[in-house]
Amino acid sequence: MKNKLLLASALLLASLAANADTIEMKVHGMVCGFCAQGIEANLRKIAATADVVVSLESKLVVVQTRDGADIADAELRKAITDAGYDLKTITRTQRTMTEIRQELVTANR
Amino acid sequence: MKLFPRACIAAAAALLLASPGGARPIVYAHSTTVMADYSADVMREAQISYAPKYYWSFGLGHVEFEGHGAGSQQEITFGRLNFLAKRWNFEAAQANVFVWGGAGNVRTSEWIPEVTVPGDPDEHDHGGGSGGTTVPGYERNLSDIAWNAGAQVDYETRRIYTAIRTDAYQSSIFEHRTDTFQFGVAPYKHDTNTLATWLVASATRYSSAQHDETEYALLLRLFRKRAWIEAGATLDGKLRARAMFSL
Repeated sequence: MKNKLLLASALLLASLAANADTIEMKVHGMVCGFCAQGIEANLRKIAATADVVVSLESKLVVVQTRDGADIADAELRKAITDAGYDLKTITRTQRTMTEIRQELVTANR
Repeated sequence: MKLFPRACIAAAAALLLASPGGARPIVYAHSTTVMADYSADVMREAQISYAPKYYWSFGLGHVEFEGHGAGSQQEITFGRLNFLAKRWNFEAAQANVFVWGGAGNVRTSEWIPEVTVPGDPDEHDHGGGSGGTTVPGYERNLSDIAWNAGAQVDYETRRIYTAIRTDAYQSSIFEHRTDTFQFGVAPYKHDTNTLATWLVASATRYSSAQHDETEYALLLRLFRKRAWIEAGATLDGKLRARAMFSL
């Protein structure tokens, strides 16, 4: 019974991750806004990308995917490394881009 | 007052040429970058390059050096390959090693002044006349293949920028080397959607048969999105300007 509950929980979490529409990535090396444009350009080329936010202050790159779409980790990693930067973590969340932008504005103050 | 309109014209010209930045020979993958560099009475340069990947780019450029003396000038038109040899991405900093090389055509022009060759005293000296031959002045133009090589090492955070760079041209008729050290500080941390402001101190040594001097300059660097400009003055009050645009 316990194993079934764990399996159900795992499936539920996997399902949430698959449907997540916001992907947050910690990226190292982002110190110049002029050069970091390459990250946004690469991510916007992906068909499933709806919006992108890059924050030097938070070392954060956020991608909002189109409804029902997802981007594989390997594709995200390729977009970041092809821009010349190091991807450290990928986190899928349910936060909206509005929430994230507000948080970044607060962090920049 | 005379310097101001001249400086404005030069700055506008540098921007129209598309101006460069001490910045980097490669900006990001799939970007076309137009750059220009201007130092009053010393040199002016324009380049355009395309980066298929973030670690290499190719392009064309043209550089002109002012020589000493009226009519003396050297100009080089070249093709160049740029490579990012090494990059270190730290949590809040980045360091890079760039190298580049290329080849092109160098043309030099020099005004050879009028000279008088003394005549043969036995043949022409009849008691007072010099009897010499005067060769009128003329412009001497030469052309040859030129090779180019250079390297840049830089380190930057969002508050500190430092770079050391060397760039050399070699041919049978002309040699030139430029060594540059830059140190910059940012009064505030910029982000991707804000204007970046840097105060940069620059020391540049120009070494050639025509130039052997070190230029010190204080510059204001501004960039946002795809535009990057840097302008200031050398210690003797001459304009120094650079700009770079990515397309």
